[in-house]
Amino acid sequence: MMHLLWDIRVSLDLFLGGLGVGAFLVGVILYYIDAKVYDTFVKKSFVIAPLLVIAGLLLLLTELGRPLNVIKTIYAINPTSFMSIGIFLQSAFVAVALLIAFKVLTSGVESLCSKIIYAGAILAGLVGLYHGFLLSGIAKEPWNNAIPVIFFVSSILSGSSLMLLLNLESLEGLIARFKLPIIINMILTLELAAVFAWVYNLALTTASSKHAYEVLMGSFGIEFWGLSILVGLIIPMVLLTLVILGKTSLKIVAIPTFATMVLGSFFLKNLVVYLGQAV
Amino acid sequence: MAKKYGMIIDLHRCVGCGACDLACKSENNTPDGIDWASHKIETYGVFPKVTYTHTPTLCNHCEDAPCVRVCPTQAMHKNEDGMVVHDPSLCIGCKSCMLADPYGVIFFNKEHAFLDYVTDDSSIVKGGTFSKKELSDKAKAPFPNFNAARGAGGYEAIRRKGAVEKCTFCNHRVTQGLAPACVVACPADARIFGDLNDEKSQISTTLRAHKPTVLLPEKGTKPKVFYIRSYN
Repeated sequence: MMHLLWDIRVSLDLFLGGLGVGAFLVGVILYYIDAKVYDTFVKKSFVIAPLLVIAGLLLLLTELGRPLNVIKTIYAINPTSFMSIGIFLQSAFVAVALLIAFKVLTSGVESLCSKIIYAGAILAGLVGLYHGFLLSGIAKEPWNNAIPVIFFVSSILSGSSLMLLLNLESLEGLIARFKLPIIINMILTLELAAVFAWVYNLALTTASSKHAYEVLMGSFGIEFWGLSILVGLIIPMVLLTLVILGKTSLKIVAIPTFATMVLGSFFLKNLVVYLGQAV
Repeated sequence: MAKKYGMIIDLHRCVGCGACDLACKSENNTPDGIDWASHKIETYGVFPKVTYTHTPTLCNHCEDAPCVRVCPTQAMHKNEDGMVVHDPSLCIGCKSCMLADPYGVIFFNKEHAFLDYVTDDSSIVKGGTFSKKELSDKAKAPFPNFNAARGAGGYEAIRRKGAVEKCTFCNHRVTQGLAPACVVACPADARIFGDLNDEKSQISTTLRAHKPTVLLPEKGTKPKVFYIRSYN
């Protein structure tokens, strides 16, 4: 049995945090495009986003040996530690996102100030990247510099998928205005490219990374090819391609498409967290 | 010039007796499963042409220490003598340092160390043998090998759960002008400890006389535990 220092709670923190960041960013985009038209969508995004990030952080706290000492990270800052910086970023994002959620719930979307949304968007972007940098900063072979990109794009995909699942009634309007299947397929292609760049980097560089590649293809083969690539990326891409070709409508395939993208994001992040510790 | 402590392990002299491992356990009260000083044995070849290596291991107190780089609270830090030391009062128990450490010499305390010596009052022969709790009560120490000297001066003699820990080069002894416990205990004088910045020190002269090797040089951590005179 694999000896894990970081278990599924870390994967869930990265997954839920990513969902929150993705949900927030899709809310920001629709807010700037047309806050009135997408009022319900934006409202749901801004309320759900901080809750997801907080849920992840609470899970992470249970992973720590001395969770009460987290308060000491405020003054014992280590500028070379991504975690040290990330604690500030996540705290700032949660504070801004909670403020936005509070304003949305009490006064509605129209009461929001675009400057605070902008600040929230920047923080969300930084937190989304930080989730990957947290791992790449440890510098284990599978946690290399491709991980921040992979995690960030995965967070965008999963967060926006979750919000689309929660706003199926506004799907038709989004399809008509934005050609949604094409946009999502482009992002899925970017994620696939980033994942394969990561895999080739593992396969072609040092002896240690080649070993990591062998473990990925061996012990983690089903999780990688089956759950992360097939379920998380290929199936939604195929379904959306059918929609683009006019073989089916997005309304029919929406639930399986977006559900598999959310699941795939978890499988991929969980795989990366475990693989880094297995080699 | 500031001191920069390091250690040499002379593999021609090392007899693999494990006295260093035991001395460390005794000095630092490390519980089962937590071995600040340890060793690895690797065998090579096919019978009858078989050979093996015995390599004593401990924290390498790297110049470019990955564990220090990733620690979010500076609990793992370098002291003024170049040793990598750990402040458990700042540790959040995130285990990042363990993941970053390529040598596997940092350990996590899952439980209160030796808690059974405070709580376990069962005895093998009732009324005939001491329970662990009785033993520590009668010895007036939290556990039998409690080292009060280590407990003085800010070091945790009884380590509580939830923090990481590792070899400190016995800096509680070094600050008093003593050598680390593993160095003193070695019956073959295989370990040389001293200031790398002092050109006349035994460690510096020995390093000039023998070409040293370090563990995992490809990691670029610049370890300060050197191995000389490999026997293969």
